[in-house]
Amino acid sequence: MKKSTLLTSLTTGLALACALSLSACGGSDEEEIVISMRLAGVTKDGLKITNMGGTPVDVPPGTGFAFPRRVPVDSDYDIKVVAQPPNTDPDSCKVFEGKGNTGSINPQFIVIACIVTTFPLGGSVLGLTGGELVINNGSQSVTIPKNATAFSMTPVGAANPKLGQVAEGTPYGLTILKQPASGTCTIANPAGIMPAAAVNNIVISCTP
Amino acid sequence: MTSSYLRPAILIALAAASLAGCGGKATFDITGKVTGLQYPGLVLVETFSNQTITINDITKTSFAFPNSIEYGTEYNVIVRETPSGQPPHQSCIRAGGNSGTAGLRTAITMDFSCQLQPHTIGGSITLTSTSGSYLGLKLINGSNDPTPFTVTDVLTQKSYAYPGITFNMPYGITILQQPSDLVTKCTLVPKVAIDGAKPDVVAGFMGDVDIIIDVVCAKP
Repeated sequence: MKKSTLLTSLTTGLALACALSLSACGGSDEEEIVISMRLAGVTKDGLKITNMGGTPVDVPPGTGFAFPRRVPVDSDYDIKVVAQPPNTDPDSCKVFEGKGNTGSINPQFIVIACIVTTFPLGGSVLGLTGGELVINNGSQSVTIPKNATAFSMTPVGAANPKLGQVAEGTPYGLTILKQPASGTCTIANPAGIMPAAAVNNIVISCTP
Repeated sequence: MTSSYLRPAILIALAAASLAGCGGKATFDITGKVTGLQYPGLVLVETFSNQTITINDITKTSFAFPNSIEYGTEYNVIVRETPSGQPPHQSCIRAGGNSGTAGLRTAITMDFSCQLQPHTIGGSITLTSTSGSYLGLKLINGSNDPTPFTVTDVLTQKSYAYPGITFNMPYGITILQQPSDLVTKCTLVPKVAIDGAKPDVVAGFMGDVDIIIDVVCAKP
């Protein structure tokens, strides 16, 4: 408490000095510290953070954020997440390098990373008798075995069970990468925007 | 910034101080590490002794030139320039290590890192009819990007591009949404025929060159 009181009175004193003699304080803006951070997985409103347990500040979606209020040189900082965007996994927003003292430079390495919730993408397969089929969603592909009646973009036994899932609000577009050895398959309604739920109604129809 | 400059300076000072201790060595092996090699055929050249080695075993992560060099001899290892010593589909660069004179440092190491060559899928967007507009057209390459490529200004958006697609990576360009006037229709027109291409979907595996898929729009 004593330290912060001292800092506060110093700041007040400085502000007073500035008010009294504006010309002498030309450089003071540059000497104050901007607490900024990089963001990952912040795609919707809802993230709220605090510094040193202060008033929560809204962080809009984007790749970076800076506290609107600068702090004096040699300020302790401690960034905490108090509310997450609604489209993120519970307790997934983490602060990295969020605690320290500014010294005389702007903190460079604060990162807040959230994991955007993803949902499975799949559907049913009709008439795949002519061999295996390979489909893809952009750079991610899966092989659907002969005679399968359902498919998921998450390969069976994938080490990462979220592989092939798509985040809410992200577009998807399934395409045929390799037709079966015999026959031709088509995908009905192959593209869309991922809702906040699994998509399991994409139909792949194959003719012999 | 200040501290990140200071640290290398300290390291250099330490390295310089340790040089005093490496007096007696007479010959030096030229060695290094290779990371990321996926295809055989990387050719490395030591330009002063004109030694060449070809790395065909992609599981090998280190190399050594057959002949060592003497104290005081200059050395410099590069990927052979002509004919190209780059492995197929990849681009290898020197990622670390040193060139210079044998003996200045305790060991000669030249590290290389290889990446699959990235290519671009893209093309022009044109309106071939006298009326209509492709405003609002949305293109995607699956879920690769969190937001579709969207035409919001027809005066400036006359092309699209998906860069950074490496060799053998699947792609699937889809017209997610036709223009917002609900009349103009756009079709995907690959410059080189692509198997299975349709007016609104083109898929395949990236090869060794950029893929041009133009978008041609018209109001019927």
